[in-house]
Amino acid sequence: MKVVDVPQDNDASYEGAKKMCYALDENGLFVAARTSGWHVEETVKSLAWKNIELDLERTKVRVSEGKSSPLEYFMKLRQMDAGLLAENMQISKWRVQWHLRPLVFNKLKHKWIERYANCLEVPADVLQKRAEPC
Amino acid sequence: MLGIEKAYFQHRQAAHCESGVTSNLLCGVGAVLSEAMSFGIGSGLFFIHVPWVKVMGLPLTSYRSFPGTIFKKTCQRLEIDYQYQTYRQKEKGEKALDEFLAKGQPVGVRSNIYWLPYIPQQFRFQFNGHNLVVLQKNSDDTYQISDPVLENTSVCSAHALSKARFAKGALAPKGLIYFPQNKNFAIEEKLARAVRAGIKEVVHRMLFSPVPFAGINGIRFLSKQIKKWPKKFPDREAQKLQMAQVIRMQEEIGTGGAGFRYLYAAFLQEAGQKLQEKTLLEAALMMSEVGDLWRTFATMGAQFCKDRFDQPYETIPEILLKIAEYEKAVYQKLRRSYL
Repeated sequence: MKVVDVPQDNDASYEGAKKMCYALDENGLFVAARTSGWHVEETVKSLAWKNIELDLERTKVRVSEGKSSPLEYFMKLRQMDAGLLAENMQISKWRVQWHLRPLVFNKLKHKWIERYANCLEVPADVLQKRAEPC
Repeated sequence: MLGIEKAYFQHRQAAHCESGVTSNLLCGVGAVLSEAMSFGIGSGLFFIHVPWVKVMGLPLTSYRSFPGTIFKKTCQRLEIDYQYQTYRQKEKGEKALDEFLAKGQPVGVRSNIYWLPYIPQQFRFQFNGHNLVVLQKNSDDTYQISDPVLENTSVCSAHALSKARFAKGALAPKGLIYFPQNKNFAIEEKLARAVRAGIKEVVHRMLFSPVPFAGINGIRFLSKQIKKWPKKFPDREAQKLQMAQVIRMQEEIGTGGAGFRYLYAAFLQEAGQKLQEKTLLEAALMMSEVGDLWRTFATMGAQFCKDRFDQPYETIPEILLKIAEYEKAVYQKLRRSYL
């Protein structure tokens, strides 16, 4: 890649920052160049994020229907799965999966709600009352 | 004594987080080494595709070596002593970091990129291999951070940093802190041996992988796997997600483009100039072409994701085979005329 070919596609997700990359200058030497984004990267990244957001939307609907617990929503919001959440909570994966069931979650003691809230960085009352994430 | 070091620790932006941290930290102790050089000496280049190991439900594809190895290998090969310490207890780890910072020592830290608030939102995902340097503790319970993927230094709250350092899961950082210990270190006479060791490891890893899903064979393996996607994932959207994941790992933050191939080419060129080895200079240009091919692959993949491709399952696996061939030629050249 030549320095003049370094893409400058103004990827909005960079939030104004620029990424560094290496490219060849006119003498065939590698120099550091800055890029503001490449449309290819933007395409695949937005596809991946769309998928995550779609999944979140679906979970939100399931929570409002009472088919999923708010814990599942916030777990997904933090891009975790049951296994990763379990490791961060330092409890067994099966226990997290048990807690993910809405009936079990609703009866969960406050001690547990607080532990989950701490782990997921969500206020405890938000986690319990299924309020909108801040 | 230690106070002087900070005077010439400089935040410089880098293409890849770990080689950037290594280079910045080493410059801080007087061993002037560019980012590309530390990437090469630390043998950062790799390729592996493991569809049965899932990251967020998608197959693992990596273009780099195991996180954490670049710093260690660079220091070992340049015979620099270093501190490399993990902590089981959060409190102890926090205290240790503060103590080193109080002595004026910039400290390399491994963290989970998701919990770092200053990173742009779309780059934050649960990945435990992000490296950064903590410069000092501010009076308002925040840290001054030199994150090599960003242009400027950033500020991060103590709570967020601690959360990131002690996140659990795959590659858990366990509060890892590291920094080189020698002072005013001269590396010139050790450079030739270190570069050779670094290249040797990459060449062997890529050419003679003991498993079929890593190295050059790994690229061919990916090509074969892609051919199987229409059968494996009847849903077109699922196929697109698979493709997007491969390309994200190649192009997203911290790769320097084309899955580290340009970064490695820059290393080959710099090493060739410093050691006056013609083979390395030639290999650098070949590697740059390989990088261009990876970029072509990424462009095709993105077109596939946008449904602008009629026969994706013929051309895309084909270009991967071509990449494998070209990359193999680079390593074989290095092996025959340099090692």
